[in-house]
Amino acid sequence: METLQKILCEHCGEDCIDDSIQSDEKVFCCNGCKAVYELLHETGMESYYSKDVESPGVSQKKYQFQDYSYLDHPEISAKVLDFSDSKNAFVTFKTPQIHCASCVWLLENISRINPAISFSQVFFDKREVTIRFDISKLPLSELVSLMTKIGYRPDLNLDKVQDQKSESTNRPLYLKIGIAGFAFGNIMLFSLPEYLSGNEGVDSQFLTLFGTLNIILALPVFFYSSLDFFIPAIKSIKNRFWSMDIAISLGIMAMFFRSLYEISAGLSVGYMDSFTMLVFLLLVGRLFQKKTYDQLSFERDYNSYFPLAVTRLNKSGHEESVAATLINSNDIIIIRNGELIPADATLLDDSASLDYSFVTGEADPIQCTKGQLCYAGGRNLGTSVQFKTERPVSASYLTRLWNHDVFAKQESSTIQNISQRFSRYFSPIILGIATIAALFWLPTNTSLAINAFTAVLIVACPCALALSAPFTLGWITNLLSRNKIYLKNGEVAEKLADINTIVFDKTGTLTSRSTGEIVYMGRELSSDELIMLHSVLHENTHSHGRAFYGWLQSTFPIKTRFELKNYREVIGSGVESICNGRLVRIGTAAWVGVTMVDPKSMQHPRLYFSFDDQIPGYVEIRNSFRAGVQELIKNLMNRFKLFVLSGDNSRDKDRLSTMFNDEVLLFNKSPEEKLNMIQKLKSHGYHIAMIGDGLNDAGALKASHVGISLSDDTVSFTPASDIIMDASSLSKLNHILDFTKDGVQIIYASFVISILYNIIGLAFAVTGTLSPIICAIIMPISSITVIAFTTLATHLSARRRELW
Amino acid sequence: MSAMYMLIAFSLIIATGFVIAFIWAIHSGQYDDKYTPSVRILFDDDPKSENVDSSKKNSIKKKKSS
Repeated sequence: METLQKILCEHCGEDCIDDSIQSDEKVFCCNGCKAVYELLHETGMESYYSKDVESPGVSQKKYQFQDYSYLDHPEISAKVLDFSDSKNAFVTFKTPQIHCASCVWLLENISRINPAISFSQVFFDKREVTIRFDISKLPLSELVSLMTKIGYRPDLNLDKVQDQKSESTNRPLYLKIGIAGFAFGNIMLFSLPEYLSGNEGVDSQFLTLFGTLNIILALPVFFYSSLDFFIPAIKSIKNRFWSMDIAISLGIMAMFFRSLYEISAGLSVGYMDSFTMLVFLLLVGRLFQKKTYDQLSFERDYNSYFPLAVTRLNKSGHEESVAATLINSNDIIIIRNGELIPADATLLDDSASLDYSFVTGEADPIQCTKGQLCYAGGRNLGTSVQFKTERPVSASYLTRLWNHDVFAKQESSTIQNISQRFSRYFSPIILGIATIAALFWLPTNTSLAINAFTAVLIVACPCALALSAPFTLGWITNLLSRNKIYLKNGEVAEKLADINTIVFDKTGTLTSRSTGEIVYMGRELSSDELIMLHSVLHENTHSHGRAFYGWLQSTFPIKTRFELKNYREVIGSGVESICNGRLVRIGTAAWVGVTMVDPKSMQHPRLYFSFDDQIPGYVEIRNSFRAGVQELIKNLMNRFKLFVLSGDNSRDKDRLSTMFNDEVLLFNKSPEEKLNMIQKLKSHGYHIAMIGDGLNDAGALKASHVGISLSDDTVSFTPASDIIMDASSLSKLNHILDFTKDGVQIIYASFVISILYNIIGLAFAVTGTLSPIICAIIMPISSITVIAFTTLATHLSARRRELW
Repeated sequence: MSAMYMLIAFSLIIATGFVIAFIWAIHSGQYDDKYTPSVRILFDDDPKSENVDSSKKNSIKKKKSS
């Protein structure tokens, strides 16, 4: 037997099944990858392969040719293009395949492949490319096919024509930080002379000069940079709610106005340095917590899943491409192999095989017969078929889910985060202490009373306190993203720590969507028969056929092959060919002539094969559980309440009940039932994390406290959720939950630290003896302690939870 | 000591210049994409690209593909 050596594709670096697809003595995993290589080779752009990493390409296996002519329809192209006149057009494509420097190079040099393109620029963080091209020479459809040909197929979905460009940049925050930092640095320089001059003090003329300059420098910080605290503070006053921002704003104002007074009275250079430093540090904390993932979208709905256009038969019987939004009821549409049904429709042809696994959770293709109503979202697995639409896209069975209340309301602000809960007591207590101190001194010394009042507000200004949560949560978000777990924002980590119930989806979540476990049932096969199977399957492109072939290769490695005659492939049924003088058929039960099997009784999809009508057996393709799932469930079992909500039938019940208790396994749930189930659990007081991946989980993900959507590659569609998790990280779920619980403990611990500093400061403040220099020392020390502590503690915890 | 006034004025003018440069950099979008430019600067111009971009021919080196 030959030893099998792994062959990696020259273009994408994936395993090749064999070395049959070659060009220039280079081996490719599929014809798509080969085509990309050849195109680049012809245009003299092979240096794509030597720019950054080896095999920089993206696997082309899953891609199929698509007709993009609908893009030239003025109505659609106007929505896709950013700008166009008669000659030049600008377009911005989302190309999630961008992942390395070679991608950037290729896309920015795309003009060398087609001279009609005059300019292209990649925006890596957003996975976007902006292209300027001559639309009279290169229609939009051809540009898109060119991009597809080189392996960067743009995302063209329904949402492209409906939005809304929500630009969320950090520009204002950067500006505020920059100005605060500038003022802080310069004011510090002007304040140092007074701190260092000892008892004699600074020359009075310099005192006035420095004081005036300090005021001038502090003005933009007070009126611009501090707005980030004033505005939320006013909002929370309106809502009659004690937020941290109120305490911060009071501190800021106390510092600013007392400094104004002290400087104008010629007493000192004021607290402007502490004030600007406070604003600077707090803003940096906000920026740190605000880590965003531009390439991911946490807000996607069905619009990002459905195609931009469909082929419609118009009244005169001609095919035309129209935007999916323009489809009305009673239109005749044509759905080709691999395309999605955009709206509920009845089948006009005899039969169709539709894959609903992403939409409903049913793992096996559904066979539809003539006149049957097919719901939107199914992917056509067979040859192209005609449908008559029953409803427009927005009123379809699946899309109606988005009309539910949970999608209508905005993120509820009623859930309070730790800082808010804490500041509810903190702010009133501080005001109380300040008032008591003022009242205490008032009878003896009025100016001392005012001093004490403002000093308490200044010192108690919760700088360190307000930095605890942003830095801890920021680090958690950051460390989790290294494990390919992307949090929508820091508060999600807090919510995750409260979880006591976990609800799993089955198809695509517990089980893997692609790799199946193959089991052969039947008599032993002779080596000739094995070679025949090899030869026929080699040509086959169907996913089950590929899985079967891969399994054959690994269990019976054979190099020889027979010649094929009369090879024929019938989509949805199987393949046949004359091979070694015998008729070989591989496919469904009906295809090879097995009639006794009721498809409903089958636990798993089967692939039958026959040699001259003699059937030696079949292979079963079982969905396998994702790696580490069994271990994970065992770990979670005792600490959390677990549920499985599946849209699929109960065929996997036996396998699941070895892991779960029987009563928590729920099957045959529609998307709406899933949503209602979550809401019911919620009303019973459970804190729920829902883990799902398909469109049918969208409602449940939204309704739960924390929605986690699982994705095999971050390129593909994920429904709106709080967390996007790479499927490979699912097995770490228990560590992630522990890590967030640690995070909450860390926040509490750093609250304690900053309160200790506050008590020291308050001791000075209530006696009315707080000098600017003490303030300028305590403030940064407390802040730096808290930042160092949270950084260290989160990293230690991550190390302990094996996440770093 | 009057030299101090001048020095303070100079230091403030320079510092203000930096702030203005920073504000300009933000508005011109330099902080929007923090990754791509770092990659872009490393690309060698290939010899064949002369007709496309003749202004940047200073570093013509071609890496051998391995």
